[in-house]
Amino acid sequence: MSQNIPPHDPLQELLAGAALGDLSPDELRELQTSATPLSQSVREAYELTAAALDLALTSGEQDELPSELRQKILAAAPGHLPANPVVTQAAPFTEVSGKFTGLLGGRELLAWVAVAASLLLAAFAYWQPIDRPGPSIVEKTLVAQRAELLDESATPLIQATWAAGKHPLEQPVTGDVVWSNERQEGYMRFVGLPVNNPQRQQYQLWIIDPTRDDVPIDGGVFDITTEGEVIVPIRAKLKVSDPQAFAITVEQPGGVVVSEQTNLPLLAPVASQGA
Amino acid sequence: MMNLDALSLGPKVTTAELEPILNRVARGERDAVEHCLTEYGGLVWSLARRLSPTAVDAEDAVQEIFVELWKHAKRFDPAVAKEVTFVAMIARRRLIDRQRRRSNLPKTTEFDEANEPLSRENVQQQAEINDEAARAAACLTRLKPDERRVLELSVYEGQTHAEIAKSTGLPVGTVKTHARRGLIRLRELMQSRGVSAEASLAKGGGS
Repeated sequence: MSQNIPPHDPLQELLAGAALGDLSPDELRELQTSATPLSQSVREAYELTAAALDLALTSGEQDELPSELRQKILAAAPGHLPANPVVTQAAPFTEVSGKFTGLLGGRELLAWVAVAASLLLAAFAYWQPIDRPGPSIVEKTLVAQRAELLDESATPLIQATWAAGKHPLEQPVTGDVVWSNERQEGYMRFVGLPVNNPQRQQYQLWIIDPTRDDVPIDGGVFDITTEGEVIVPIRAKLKVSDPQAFAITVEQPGGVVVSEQTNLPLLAPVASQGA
Repeated sequence: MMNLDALSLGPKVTTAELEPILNRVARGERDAVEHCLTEYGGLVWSLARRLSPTAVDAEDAVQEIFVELWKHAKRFDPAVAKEVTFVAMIARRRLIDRQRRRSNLPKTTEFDEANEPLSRENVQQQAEINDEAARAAACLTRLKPDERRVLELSVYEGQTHAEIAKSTGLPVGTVKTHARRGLIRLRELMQSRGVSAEASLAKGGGS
């Protein structure tokens, strides 16, 4: 029966009537004077039931929301949203020390990169640029840092474009990586990378550098908190000397020491080397 | 050379698996607002057209509904209901409030498209897209015919007791009882069906 209100209590019928919208003025007053958190909860349960029934009874295609009306709603929305929206800057890295071992090493690493490059060429034709809103105000700090790196580096930068990895996402993700060996500084840019629930899964960056004992360098764990364009700073745990590729895996919260590579959605092979 | 094909394929990360739209709206994410309009704008517009007397009134209603949705987004709990059902509930609540305010205005509208409730077969087909709606459709068939008809006219067409009494020939008092007890009974049936489905799943069977 519905929560703890007795099944034949007249209040049950009043609450059902409220969900149907058929209360008389006297009944409405009676309900308002006897409202409790429990009765509100029961009323909402009946409202959900009526909503489910309404959905079941709806026939055929839904009418499309008129575009002018959509624009009005969008224009008015900011006034009704929380005052401090979530920033699009990625969450700070979680410190995870470890090595990416087991399945990759040495020549296998370079072979993997060669395959990745061919995947990039094969996948490129299927991707279209995604028009996205610009980054949020808070994110401009990282945008500015990335722009500064791009504009002011004395030595050529290492740049790579994201391509589908071994386990592509349902929607294409575009973006790129810029890295400065001199500064040991770099930034990942993603457009369309799905928002993750950090309590279930986190993204982890790996930097493939053959000079580093044949194992990828842990680039840290990060979260995507909003759709659209996101800039994520790279925080390599070890010095990067000769990056050949950047890879993103999806891991358990906190990242892993050894990746099983069971979910590798993105790969960015380096097309040309910087000094 | 490493055989990449030997690597096991993991599950794709899908947006749907990651977070409900309303949770992101509740955090103030602008992109989530657009996503919500894309996902549910048609549903809300269709509901408003059906339960509003004029096109202008429906447009006003839709704007009010989405304002309510932005305000109540933080209350959405996926453990309680599907997101689409929650959106429909907020929409119906606002539309019922508006109906109450203009209770002296006629219910007939300039929208002449057929709004007749579906036959049982079509209800089942439509309900396949939403398992909560499917449960409602299935449980609806277990109500008495008069209760079912009265509930359909009340929920789907938003008719008053007097209007339902006129179209069905039933006394107004009977209509009131059928509508409310019908909804109470429907809720009970849906809850017990949901418990049965969960128990079945726990045992390893299908729902």
